[in-house]
Amino acid sequence: MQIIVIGANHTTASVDVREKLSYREDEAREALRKFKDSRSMFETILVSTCNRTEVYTLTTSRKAAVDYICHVFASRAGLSVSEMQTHLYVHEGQAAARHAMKVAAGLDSIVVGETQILGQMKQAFALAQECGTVGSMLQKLFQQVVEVGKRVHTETSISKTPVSVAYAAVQLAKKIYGSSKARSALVLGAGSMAKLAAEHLASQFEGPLWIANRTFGRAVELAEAVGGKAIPWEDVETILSKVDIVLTATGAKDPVLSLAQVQRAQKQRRGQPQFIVDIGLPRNVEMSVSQVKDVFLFDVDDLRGVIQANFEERAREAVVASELIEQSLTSFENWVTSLRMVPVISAVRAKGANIQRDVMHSLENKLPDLNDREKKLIAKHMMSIVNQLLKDPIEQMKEMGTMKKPSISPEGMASLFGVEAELSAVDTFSDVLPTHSMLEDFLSMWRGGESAPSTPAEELVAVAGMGSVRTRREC
Amino acid sequence: MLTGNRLLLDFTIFIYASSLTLFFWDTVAPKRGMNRAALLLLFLVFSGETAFLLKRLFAFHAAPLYTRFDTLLLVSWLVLLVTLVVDAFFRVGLLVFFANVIAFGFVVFDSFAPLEVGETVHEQADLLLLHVGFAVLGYVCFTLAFAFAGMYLLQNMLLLQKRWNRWYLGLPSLADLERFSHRSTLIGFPLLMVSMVLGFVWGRLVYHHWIWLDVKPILTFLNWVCYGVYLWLYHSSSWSRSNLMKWNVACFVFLLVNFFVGSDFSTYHPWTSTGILG
Repeated sequence: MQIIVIGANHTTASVDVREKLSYREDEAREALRKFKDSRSMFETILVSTCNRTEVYTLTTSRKAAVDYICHVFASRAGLSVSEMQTHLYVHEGQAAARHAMKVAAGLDSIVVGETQILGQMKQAFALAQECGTVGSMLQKLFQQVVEVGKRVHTETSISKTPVSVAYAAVQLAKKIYGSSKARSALVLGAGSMAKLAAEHLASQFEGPLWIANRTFGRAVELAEAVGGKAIPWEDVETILSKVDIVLTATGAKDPVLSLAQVQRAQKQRRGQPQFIVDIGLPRNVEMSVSQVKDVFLFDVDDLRGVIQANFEERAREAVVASELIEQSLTSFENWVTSLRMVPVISAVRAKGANIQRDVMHSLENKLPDLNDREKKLIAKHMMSIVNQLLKDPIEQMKEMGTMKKPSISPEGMASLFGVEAELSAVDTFSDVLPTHSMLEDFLSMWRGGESAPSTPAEELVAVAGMGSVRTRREC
Repeated sequence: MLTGNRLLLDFTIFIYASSLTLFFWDTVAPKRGMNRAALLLLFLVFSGETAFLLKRLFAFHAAPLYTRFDTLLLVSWLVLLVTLVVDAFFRVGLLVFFANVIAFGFVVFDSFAPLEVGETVHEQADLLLLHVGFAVLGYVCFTLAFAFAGMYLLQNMLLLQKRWNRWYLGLPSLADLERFSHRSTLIGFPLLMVSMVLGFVWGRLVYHHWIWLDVKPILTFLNWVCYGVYLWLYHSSSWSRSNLMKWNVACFVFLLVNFFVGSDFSTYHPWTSTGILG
């Protein structure tokens, strides 16, 4: 038994293929039902976004599961199986769990650190729960996945460093003015870049937002769209001293803001800093403006520098995120390890309860005059003796369950308590927990999934006699 | 016991230096483990300084306040305490590093001072204790104000020079740094004033006349006026914010000069190994 993930994302499949593989919610629901009906897939979660479609499954037969999913994907994308295989990656065991965590943390996204994917993973998990295709194993794994995704976004700055020009400008403004939202802004221009920037400013700051354009009508249109106020071009200098943020994005060939204008405005601002962003090409603000005291002037190249630094920061934070993921993987592995003792503990408890019941039955035959109250009292005390006798051994078993190499194996423990027969009796797969033998199988393959000489997709190729499969190992 | 004290101080300095080095590396090339190790070492330093101050308290049966050595150590201990608390609850980027670089400087300066101090007995000891206590609290505020002002100037320089490095990312915004520096000064200003008044009263009670014409009280008063000017400029002038921060830095340099040198020229307020009055 093993967890595997098979899917396609922006690194393995083109947009055309990804579009075809994408599932709407109702389609995903239907697909999950189909996966549930297959004999080899015990638990399944389907993650489908614009950039990836992945199936996480707990299976006893890797080949069968990979083969089945591959055929489903191929038929959906309208491709042959061999063509489909070139767009797929497969991870198994620990590598599959790690992949899920990296996806949730945004480390596998086009823009590293993006947060939207975490919500999409949560939705996929919820849908699978609703469809009843999630059991104890994937439930625990996805709980860990969501938790580590949240931790990465809250404990690192991976998603807090902007990587677009508009957000980089807002980040710079915040480095000057802090978290205070009551900042006024002036946007010069009404083109597409000005519109985008004005929208960002309107969403980030609550102070007045003025729009000025040489064609006043366009300024009015943009002001209405972003909830700002249009002003005639002639009033720019009047308003200049009142604004904290100035953003210029006009198509003018000559500068629209001169050194003299900014100097006059700065005199009236009484030492308050002013943030000017020039995203016009050619530049809209005279370069010498940067020499004015307390004026911070940035152009497009500066913003690109900020974005580059932010990308580097995200890459650095990704290392921290990977450490969190490894911690979470260990925690999941410990949980699976601890499950090995659960059937033994259940069997020992059941044996204790059986003994108590048998002895009580025998006692009732020998002492027929006992009334109900006396019988209840004796049964209660007998059960108390059984529980007290088993309390310490069960505690020890629970503790040993968390050890990778316990001093006594679950089989040894079952033999010690004489519950081998009971253990094998409960060794049938239930919806609640995988069986004892399945867990042993799972743990033996857990790490093997990472270092296995071939992935299931490669095995599939070998079986089917097909060409090379494009697999992508995460680590 | 004295050898033990020296060992404890040297050990604390070593740990302090290691912690700050790790904080520096963590800023340049961040690593979670490094940051945690640095913070852990800082807790060790805090424990070491606490132990040291307690030892002196019990050894000399007096609050460790009367010598330059003890005052500096106490300021360092308080700065460390404040930064640890602030870091735990508010997370002001890189404050722990910058404030502790200054506090570390105090401890290093202390390491050159003699540790052999006898029991000190002062007249009007309660009043003296309050005088020094308020001054120490004021110094802590001004140290933090200086740290914030320094951070402001660094962030201002990085923004103007367009250097988008780890320091730029780690430092708080200019507005926040300006606010923190101003608030620290605002708290320190009345504390220093109370300390001066108590000092004058103490001098009057002990020497039976007002001590006006002495280097220490004059310099302290001037320093206090400088901080007052800073506050006035902050609220009512059109001075640029970066100039104001430079003024704050200059005030702190004045404070250091007064603290380390001023007393040496004072008739009534000399630092000696056995206390303010020797």
